[in-house]
Amino acid sequence: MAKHDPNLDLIFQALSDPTRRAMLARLATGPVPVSELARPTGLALPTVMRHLSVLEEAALIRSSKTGRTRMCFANPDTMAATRDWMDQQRAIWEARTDRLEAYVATLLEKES
Amino acid sequence: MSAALPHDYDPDLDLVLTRDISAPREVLYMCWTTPEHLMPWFVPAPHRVTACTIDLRPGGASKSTFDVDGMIMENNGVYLEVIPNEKLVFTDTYSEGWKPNPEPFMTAILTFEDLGNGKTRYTAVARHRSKEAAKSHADMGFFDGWGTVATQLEAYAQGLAGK
Repeated sequence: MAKHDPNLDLIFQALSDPTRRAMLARLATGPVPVSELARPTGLALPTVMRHLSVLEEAALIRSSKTGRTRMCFANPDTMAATRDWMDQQRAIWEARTDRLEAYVATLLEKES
Repeated sequence: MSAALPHDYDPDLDLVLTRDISAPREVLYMCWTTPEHLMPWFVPAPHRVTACTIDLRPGGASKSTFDVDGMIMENNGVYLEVIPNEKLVFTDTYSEGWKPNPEPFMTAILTFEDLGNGKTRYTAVARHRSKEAAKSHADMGFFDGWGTVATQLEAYAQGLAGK
């Protein structure tokens, strides 16, 4: 059983994708409507919405609807949490253990 | 998990991770102690371990070279304790020949406890020198390299399994 803040899993998973990192970088400059976030990605809107929901689940962003426009806001507090050095170390060890576990599973599969 | 805690556990500097893994401890130990089986998983894709030397004895070299976005990182450490299939302790405090390293950061204590039925309780304890040392480590941009996680790992494991 992993003994760590589950949010950290969501955060790092959200950050593991370059499209989502680009969206966060854009949001760091201020609130942006979804349509404007979508444009530079060249992705279909449903795909963009899926990326945004991953970011929102990780509490990296918030969004609110005004009329027909959905605005997205960065949530800098969440990013600050990932900067805590001990969390970083934990994330490194957790991720490393994930990879070890996956690698070992493939080894055992080959054997059998 | 309490059994794995160092007696002088310091929550500010010590990190303890315990996980029960569905693999015999001999296999997990092998993954930590042979370059062939350590290099594939040690750093997250797309970063790579480009070289690895393991001299498995107290004082023996534990060396690896990482390519993190084209930035080459050398990691020189030594093993402090080696109990085959049970325990592995290493540190970056020294290089081979007990040469003190300029910026020691941590000691890692790995234990592999046989749970029977091919399962292992895997515990990693990382004891850090200071928050300042840790911070410089993170500031080197190392963390960004390590931060890419679950999705890529999964893809990698699946790629391996498909071979």
